[in-house]
Order: sequence, then structure tokens, then C-alpha cells
Amino acid sequence: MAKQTTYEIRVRELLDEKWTDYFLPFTLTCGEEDTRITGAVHDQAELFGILLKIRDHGLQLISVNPVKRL
Amino acid sequence: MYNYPVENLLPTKFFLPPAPTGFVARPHLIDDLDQALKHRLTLVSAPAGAGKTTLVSSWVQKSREKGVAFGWLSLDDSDNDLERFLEYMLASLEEGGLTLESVAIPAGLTGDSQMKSVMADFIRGLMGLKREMILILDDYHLIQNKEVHCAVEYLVEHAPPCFHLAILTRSDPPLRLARMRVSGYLTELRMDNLRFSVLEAGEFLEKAAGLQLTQTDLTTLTERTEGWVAGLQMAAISLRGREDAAAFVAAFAGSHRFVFDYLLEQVLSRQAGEVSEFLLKTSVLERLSGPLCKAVTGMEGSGADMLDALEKANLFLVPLDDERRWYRYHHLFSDLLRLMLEHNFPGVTAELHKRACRWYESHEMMVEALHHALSSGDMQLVAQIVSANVLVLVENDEAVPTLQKIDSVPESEMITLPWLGIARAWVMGAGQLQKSRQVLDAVEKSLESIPEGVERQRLAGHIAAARAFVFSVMGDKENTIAQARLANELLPADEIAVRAMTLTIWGDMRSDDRRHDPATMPILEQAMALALKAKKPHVAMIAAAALASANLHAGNLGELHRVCLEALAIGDEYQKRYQRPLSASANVYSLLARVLAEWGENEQAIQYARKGLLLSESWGQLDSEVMCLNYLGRALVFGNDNEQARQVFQRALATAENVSPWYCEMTIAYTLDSLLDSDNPDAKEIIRQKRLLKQYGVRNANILASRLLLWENQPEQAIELLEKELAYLQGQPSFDIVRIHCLLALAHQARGNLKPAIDSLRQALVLAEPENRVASFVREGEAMERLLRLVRVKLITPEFVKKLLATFRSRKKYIPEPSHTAEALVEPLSQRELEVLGHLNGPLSTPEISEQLMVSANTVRTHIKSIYSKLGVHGRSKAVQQARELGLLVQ
Repeated sequence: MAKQTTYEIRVRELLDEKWTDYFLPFTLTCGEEDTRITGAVHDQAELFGILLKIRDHGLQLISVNPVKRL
Repeated sequence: MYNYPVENLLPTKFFLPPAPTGFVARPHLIDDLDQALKHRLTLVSAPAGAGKTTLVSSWVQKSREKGVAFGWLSLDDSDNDLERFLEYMLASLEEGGLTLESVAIPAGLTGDSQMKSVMADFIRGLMGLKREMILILDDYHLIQNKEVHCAVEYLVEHAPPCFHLAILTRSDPPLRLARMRVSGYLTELRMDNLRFSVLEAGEFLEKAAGLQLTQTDLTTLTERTEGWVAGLQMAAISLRGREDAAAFVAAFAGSHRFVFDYLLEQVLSRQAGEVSEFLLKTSVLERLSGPLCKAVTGMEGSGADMLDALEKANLFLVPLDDERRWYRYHHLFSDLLRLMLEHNFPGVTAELHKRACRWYESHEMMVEALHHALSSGDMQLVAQIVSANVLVLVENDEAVPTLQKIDSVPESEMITLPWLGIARAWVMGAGQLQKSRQVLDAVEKSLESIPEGVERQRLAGHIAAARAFVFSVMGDKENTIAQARLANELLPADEIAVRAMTLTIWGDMRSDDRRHDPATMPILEQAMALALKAKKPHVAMIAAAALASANLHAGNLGELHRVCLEALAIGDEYQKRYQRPLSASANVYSLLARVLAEWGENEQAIQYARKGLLLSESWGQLDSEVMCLNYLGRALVFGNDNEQARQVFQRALATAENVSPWYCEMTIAYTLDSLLDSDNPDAKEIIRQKRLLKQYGVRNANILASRLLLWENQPEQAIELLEKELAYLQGQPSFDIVRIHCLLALAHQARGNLKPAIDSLRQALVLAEPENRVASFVREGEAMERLLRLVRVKLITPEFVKKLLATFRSRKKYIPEPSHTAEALVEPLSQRELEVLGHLNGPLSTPEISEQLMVSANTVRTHIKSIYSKLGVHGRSKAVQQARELGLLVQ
């Protein structure tokens, strides 16, 4: 079983529920001024895949951080 | 790998997008871009929808007036292949006016040293530039291939000073930009440069939507969208016709939702239901045309009218050609629409893709059909498209990336998606036989988990059909027939196209040439009928050729002729509809040459052989090329043109060596047979050919052997061989029986036994008359002529004998013309040239032709020049005339 890392990616825009399917298996959580896209990836390629989706929609990337599992 | 001939390039990649409605001139940015001429690389790097392409294309229009040369290339995913990338780059330079003739891109280009060598050629070619030239690469962010990046970097580093590169991209390319900045090679425009100022935003809104906002509202709007023109465009559409702009702007500013998302919803909610339904449904399409959209949406009115209206309303529709036949959506727009579609109408997407697939299939655009089938997720549909069109797909370069997608699905998924496995096996069947068999075995195993029933049987039928295909390519006759028979039993009646394919494969399998199998013909007749019903002219044509062949072996020449003409009619219909010939026609022409030669219509036989030859050359079909040459050679000998015939047979053998030993054997047999047809055959040559034939092993040579024995004055042995052959045939219908009886007659005559000679001749004549077998007699020369004169008295088939004797007389009188039309064309016309030639025969002018074919007028002119040169003529009407004479044009 490959090691998985959970990442939290933040974008500037608020995204509504129709974006949920698009970012699966990541989950979306809307804050007041940003959206957090959270999920586990198997490898860097998966991570960059999500980042490219963000780029291609003209969304603004704020941060990408690994999340420690509790 | 794949070599991309110029004819196959997509013209839309060079198409400079026109300025959209509401275009705002941004002179300060144009000035910035003019700096390109002082730098090696200009980088325009900004997110989607920032206005890069619009800005740069307007700059190109302006700069052309100043005499700068431009090349434009819109990149896509498939350009992640160095060879393809370079081919397109060359072509875009050519469209811009610079032809680099000395640059040859080798097939299978790979590796650093090879790349550098090709790029060095490139750069040498660029040295010939007489004015400033800028090559623009749009959507460069799609390039991920390291080799391409290396090539681009090499170009930037080493190109001559008058050549400049401009890259438009959504993210900075992985080139050594920092170094380029420091060296002064680079100038760039980024998002901050491209943002619309409040002033510009105001101008934009006015031009695009006739809007006049208050300064406050304008400022708010610009700030909220951050000068992102895609957002402004969406806002413009939303605001049109609204009473209370201020309220809208306030609400918009107050929302924190993603700008584009929010505005799109606003836009859609204000459109007529019909329009928003149209937008949502057509968002699944990569490209849009009126009829396609109509088919996919199921709408009442004209799709083209709707697209026209959307373009005028500035709804993110981008034309792909000057004629406004094809469009695409700005991807930001369509991507979001797709999300909405999925969210609000789940499951509809698959159905829409299926409709698109069917529309493309009915328009003979198989690559796009396959693409949509894959997108629909319906693997059974994928398998159906592949199996029904496999022959067309493997001929088409553009299909490669899509086929690779099928190829790249992991084995484990094959088990859960048996239909995908079947599609993959068909695709591999043409090239990777072992792998294909493995895949089929794996799929078959997976069937065990499916309950017995219709579905399982259908799958099993497909597996058998694919296996039959693979075995036929391998030349394994027994297994092909076994699997084809099985497939025929298992496949349900509605699988018309696959059944047609299977039956064709079954019938087409090389049957024993000496003994015709009567079961073959009904199978092929059924195949042809089914193929026509399924609207698969490709398959119908192959079935027809196979049916004609079967009739030839049985000696049914009249039927053969009829079937060939029917096949040609199918080919003509296809050519009229799609402006290109069916490759299988070459085979049909060769069969016509065969039958007309046998009927003594030598001139026509030669014409048909030449037509078949030209087509075979154009399509690179070596096997039919060999057969056409053989029939041509024989007809030439019949017409007493032995010198030309010799050259033709030489060429046939050389070509046959690239096909297979069996084709070589056949060719030598034909050569030898034809030598014996001539009046004074060269003894040395005969001995030489005999020796050659021995090298290949002699398979089907009893008749040829008998003829040789007669020539060598050994009639007893000849009789023995011939009687043995007769016994083997056991009264089955066969082409050879007439010849056997003719040769028996001659053998008896040589021994001085007139009565059995006349008996044999009688049998020959009686069998030959209904099918008009003139050549079988006339080719045997004086001895036969004498016999026939004797037989005249006996009143056996008197009319036929009269005809034969007349043919003998005219053959003696006939003196061939000197061979100024020896090989009518030194170099065959390419497929694209044949297309253009077809248009030359019609009412369209050169610019109109270029629109029809969706290429530039320059490209058409190049083709026309080449056509004239190859035909050896000047001028359109002469070209048409010459082409008609050579049989290149359909009346």
C-alpha cells in the first residue's frame, strides 16, 4: 500500500457545489474568502493534476500544504 | 513512428482568430509587443481568459502591414511529439511565406543528437530569411514533452537575428527564462500588463454591449473582476438590456463567489430556455457546426442560425475557419457549462456524447466518432465503432492518439470492461498480432463471470470476429474460417457491420485457386449486401472484390464483370460524397483488366490496368500494384508490344519482392505464361524464367508446366499432366477447364491424333462460348488457329469460332504505337493532389477550392503546380483532359 499524503490547497475564489464532482476525490470547503480543497494523493503527479485544473480555470492559488494526520 | 505528409495537416492550427466583437485596441500593449523585434523570445504568460490570443492576433494583423512575416501555430495535446511538433512548425512557417525545403524530419525522430541535427538544418534554412519573421506558438502550456522544450530552447539560442519566437501560455514554460532575461533575449507580458484598466473596461463594455456605466459602477466592476477580460465579457453579456445596472454591480461586488461562475449563472438565467439548453448541451463538443449541434441537442430550428446568433451575442464562440462552418467555445466557458450540465442533469452527458458519435460516424469522420464514443463511457459503442471501421481507422494518421488511448488502458481494466478489450484487440489486430490474441484470450476468460444470455453471446461473437480478423492477417486460412463461422453463428442479427466484415474476411481468405469452393460466393454476396445495408462502403468494396475474385476462379466472367461494375458504382458514389477515392477500388480495376483481357478487349484491359496501377501507387498498395502490372504485362504481349511488356514484368517482380515470396512466384508464372503467348518467344528468356520459378517452389503450375512441355515438344507428358489436373478438378466449375481442354487439343494435334484433338477442342469451345473466353484460344497462336479452321466445317459453336478467327487476324495486323505513354505518369499523384484534381474538374475557382478543402490558397496552388508538372501539362483544361485519358477522373 503506497503512502498517501493529505494536502490542503487554498484558492482565492469561492466555489459552489457543482465543482464537487470535478475535484473528486478532493473535498471542497468554502471559507469566507477562500475555498479549501482537501484530499489525499498517492504521488506528485496526482497533486500536479489538481493544480493544473486550478490553473486552467483561471482560479488563483494561495497555498498548498500537507496536512498532518491526527 | 508516423510520418505526417503535408496533405494530412489540420488547417485550423494555422488559422489566425479574427478580432471578437467589442475589440478594444490597446496601443500601449501593441508597443510592448513591437519590442519582439528586438528580442529572440517574447513571452506572453497569463491565465486563461486574460486576452492573450486576441491581443497578439491583433498585433499580427497590424504588423503585417509593416512587412513583417508571421507564422502562427495553435498547439494542442498531440503536439507533444517532437516529430509532429516540428512538422507543424515547418508548415506554419510555410503558411507565413517561408519554405524550408532542405529540412527533412526523419521518421522516429528521437534523442538529443538527432534533434540538434534537425534543428541545425532548420536554423540554416532560417538564414535565408530576407525580412523579419515572428513565429507565434499559442497555448504552449499544453506542451509537456521535454524533447520539444529542448528543441524550442535550441531555436531561441541559435536562430538568426531576424527570426523571433513568441510564446503564449498559461504558465511559464520550463525554459531557461532567468538566463534569457539576463542576456537580454527575452521580453514579456504578464497578467499585470494584460489587466484592463477602468478606462479600457469602459471602452470594452461600450463596444461589446453598448453599455454606459457610471464611473463608480465601472470602477467596482473592474476591481471585482481585477481587469480579467473574460470576466468583463461575461459581465457585459449579463448587463445587456438590464434596467438596473447599479443593483447588479452591487450584488456582484458583494458576492465572493468565483467571478466567472457567478456571472455565467446570471447570463444563463437571462437567456431564453432554448438558448441555455443549447449552450449546456453543446458544451460537450470539442468543435461545433450547425448540423452537429442540431443532432446533439435535438433542437427544431437551424443549428447554424443559433451559432451565428451566439457569436454575435459575444457568447464565447470562436470561429475556426473563414466560412463560419466550424466553431469552438472558449474553453473557460465550455468547461464551466459542462460542470453545470453534470451537476444539474446528471447522466445526460453520456447520451450527448453518443449522439455526437453517431453524427460523426454517419459523416465518415471516424476519429471524432471514436473520441466521443470513448467520452460517453459506453465501451460497447467504442467496440462497435472500432470493429465496424477498423480498416478506415488504421489508415488514418489522425486516429493515432485516440487509438493509443484505447491501447493504454491497463490490462486489469480490460477484465471489467470486456468491450474495451475487444476494441483494443481489433486495433492491435492490424499490427500487434500476438498481443491482440492475448487480449482476446483475457477477455474471453472474463466472460465466465457474466451470466449466460444475449449479452454474453454478443461478446463471444465479437471475440470470434476479432480473432478471425487477426488470423486472416496472419494468413492462417483454417483458423480464419473456423472463427468466422463461429462469429457468424453467435453474432445477433443487428450487428450488421461486424457481420459484413466477418463474412468478407471469410470469403476473402485465399481459397484454393485451382479448385473453386462453391460455398464462397453466397457468403460474399451476403457480406456485400450487409455492408451496403450498414452503409460501410469500404467493407462493401472489399466484399465485392472478393466476390469478383471468386467468380473469376469459377470461370463466371459475366458475373465477375457485373460485380466489378457494381463495386465501381459504390466507389464513384463515395468519391462524389467525400471527394476522395476508396482505396479498395484498385483491386476492382485489376480484376476488370483481367476479364476484359480474357474477352479480347485488349485496349480496355490496358486502360483498366493502368487505372488500378495509379490508385495502388497512390495508396501504397503493393499487392494490387503487382497484380495490375502482371495483367498489364500480359495485355501488352497480347497486343504485340513485347518490349514494353518486358519492362512492366521487370517492375512487377521488383515490387513483388517487397510483398511476399508467393507474389514473386505468381509474377514469374505470369511472365513465363506471357512469354509463351508471344509469336516468337525468346528461348533463353524462357529458360531463365523457369529457373527463377524453381527457386520459389512451384505451387499452381500444372497448366503452365503443360504449356512448357508442349513448347519443348513433349506432348505425351503434357497430356498426362493435363488429365491429372482435370481429374483433380472433378467437374467443378473452374476458370482453368477451358485452358486445359485447349492445351489437350494442341497436345493431341502435336502427336498427330486429330480426332482426340478435335474432341478436346469441342469441349473447350462449348464451355468457352457462354463466357466469351476469347484470349484462352487466341493466345495459343498458329497451332490453335489451324485447328480452329479445321473445326469450322464441323459447325461447333460457329459464331464463336468466327469471332476467334477474326481476332487472330486483327492481332496479326495490330502494330503497337511507340511507347510515348509507356509509364503514363513517372510519379503518381498523392491523395491530396487527387482531391484537388477532382475539384479542377468542377466549377470552383482556386480560392473556392481552398475554402472547400480548408487549406490556404497557397497550398492549393502548390498542389496544382505539382499536378501540372506530373501530368506534363499547362493549364486547367489540359490537366482535366489528360487526367480523363489516364483514367484518374470519374466522369
